[in-house]
Amino acid sequence: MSRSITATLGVLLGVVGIAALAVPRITTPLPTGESFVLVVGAVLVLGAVAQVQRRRHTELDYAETPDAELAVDLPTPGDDLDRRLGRLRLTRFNEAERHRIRDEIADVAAETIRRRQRGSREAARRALEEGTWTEDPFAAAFFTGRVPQAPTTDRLRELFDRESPFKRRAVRSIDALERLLEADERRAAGDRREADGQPEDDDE
Amino acid sequence: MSEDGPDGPNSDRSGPQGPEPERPDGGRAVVDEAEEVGEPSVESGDGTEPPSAGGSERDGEAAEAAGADEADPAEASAGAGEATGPVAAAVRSSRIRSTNHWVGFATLVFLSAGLGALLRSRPLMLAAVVGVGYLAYANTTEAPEPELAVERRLSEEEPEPGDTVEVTVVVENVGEAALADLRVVEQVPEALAVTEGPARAATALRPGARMTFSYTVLARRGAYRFEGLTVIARNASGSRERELDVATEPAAITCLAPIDATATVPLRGLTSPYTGRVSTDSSGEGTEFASLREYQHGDALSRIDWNTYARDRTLTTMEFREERMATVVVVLDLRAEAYLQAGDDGPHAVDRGIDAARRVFNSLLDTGDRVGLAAFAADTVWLAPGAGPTHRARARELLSTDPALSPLPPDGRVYVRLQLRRLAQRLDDDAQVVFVSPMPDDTSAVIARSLHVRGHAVTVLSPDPTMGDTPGRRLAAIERSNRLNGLRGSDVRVVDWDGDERLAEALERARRRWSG
Repeated sequence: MSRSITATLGVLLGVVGIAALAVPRITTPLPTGESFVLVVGAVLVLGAVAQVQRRRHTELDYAETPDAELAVDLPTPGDDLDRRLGRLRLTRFNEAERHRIRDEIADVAAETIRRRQRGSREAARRALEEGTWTEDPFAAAFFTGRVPQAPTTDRLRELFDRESPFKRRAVRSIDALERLLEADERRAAGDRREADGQPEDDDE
Repeated sequence: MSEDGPDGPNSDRSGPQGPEPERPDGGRAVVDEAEEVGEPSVESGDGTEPPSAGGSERDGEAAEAAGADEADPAEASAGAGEATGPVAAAVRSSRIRSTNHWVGFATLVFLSAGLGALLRSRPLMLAAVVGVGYLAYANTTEAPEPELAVERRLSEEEPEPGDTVEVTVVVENVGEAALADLRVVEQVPEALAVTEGPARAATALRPGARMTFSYTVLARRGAYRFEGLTVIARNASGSRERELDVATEPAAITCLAPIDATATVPLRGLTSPYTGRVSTDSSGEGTEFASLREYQHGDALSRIDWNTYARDRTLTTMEFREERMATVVVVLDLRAEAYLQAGDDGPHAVDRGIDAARRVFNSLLDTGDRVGLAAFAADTVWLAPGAGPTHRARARELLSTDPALSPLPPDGRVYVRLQLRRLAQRLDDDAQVVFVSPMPDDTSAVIARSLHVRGHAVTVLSPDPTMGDTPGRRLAAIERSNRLNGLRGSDVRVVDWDGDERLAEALERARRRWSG
């Protein structure tokens, strides 16, 4: 509504302006005093500022075209944990989340240790809590919560690492678990070879 | 003043859209085809072989001079021979919006006029007039309402998996209004990946003019329908735009999986009463010698050991190991949790699993076993064990095109306990189960175990979706390895099928392990 009014007004003024080119006399009733022109100029400059503000507060609103070309994107197992570990830096003091992550890794760790040592679940948990399951002091410290039994230089290096000690130790404990599993698979393969009485090139 | 304010009228074509280039491939696809009345030869040639971008530009101009004709489309389609020509498309939904592209442009006008007044400068005052002209241009027009006719041509409607299918889309402006800025985005079925050329185009279309663009999709198992386009039309200044969801004549790709089999699937000793290929420990009829026993009245003459009779004149009967037919049900894990993929490339775990199921199914049929299909899916999937060519064809159809076996994760929930109970009711007592699952969680292990404790011999065939490039993925791989190991410990056979390994290799490796 206001749009059409301003449009009409604009057109009228435009016509008057063009007419004034031909007949300059019709503009004489309009106030053309020094101060009035200054005020009009100032108002116009203020209008410019207002327009800048309007632009700044208006987002462009184009239609989003869909990504037609991409097929479905599916996760790889473990992506979730990676994401959560990555987010830890932002939520530095989120103790509950750290607990959850530690518990999740501990569950897998206990199962892996049990598998490796062919022992009971309790024994595996104990090994985890005492840190006797790995050679890596930092990986062990991830579950014991104690200061790692490592040379001071290594601990200093950890202190100045870009990653938080929590994430570093989590990663190291996962690496240690992987080594444990590889050792177990090698041993299982060795057992089978002995049983077969002949070497097998296949490693599982 | 914002950076977007004083942009020229052309900037809206590329700027704010960001990562969606108009023609990144340099105009391979878009052709503004111009129809000359009474020249059907030009028309029919246009449909299939889009000329180069430069050439088409000139074509367009030439046609502009010639002018468009009302009767043109009909005539064109008649002249195009076997092609039916574009069919008017129905609008499913429409929405109009201001793009805010010109918001803030008035700053220039105000500033120029204001400074002109303050400084008593005529040129500045006059410059404001130019700005006013631009603003009028931007704000007085409305986005056109496109009336389009669309034709979609597929180079192949029943491709083999892995084939590429070229999709050619012809869009014709059948309305009265010229479309100054028309963008068309194809609604490619979600599961299909575009391998070549963007499935979209942008151009200007006069009434009666056509454009053609084409792209290539990689066919994969399943039935897919192309039935829509997203259309965005803007006015010449780009200040208003209309977004349409347009229904087109459907085109469909049906991609059936081949009927190839794999190496023999090692089965276990649990069998049906029918003769087949699984050797049992009981003696009877068969081909593999088991023992000799005293002749009893009624034994078949063919089973009498005549060598013994010749030697010491006693009648003995040869016993063979009985060979029975196995009943096997291949059970697929199609829960949303199973939809995993190692990295970004290649088929995902469920696709690999379905592929494996198909090979296992066919090879078991080949060796004379009775095979059925079932799945833990949002919908019921059940093909009772059977044999014969009809059964094979039915399974092929099911494995290729059943909506429950879609390459996309299911929307609905999968009630595992309920389905487990139903499956247990359906399974014969002597049926073996091949459970195909990437074993993503403990539930999958529970499924395998509960089928096992119900007395079915369970073989888990597990496409490996894990990777080892990040800590999280390494942990997931360890967890899955533990899970499989736990299953092996409870006497469930497990075939761990690695991503870069052929299924036959994985089965052979497993067979050696089981026999060793």
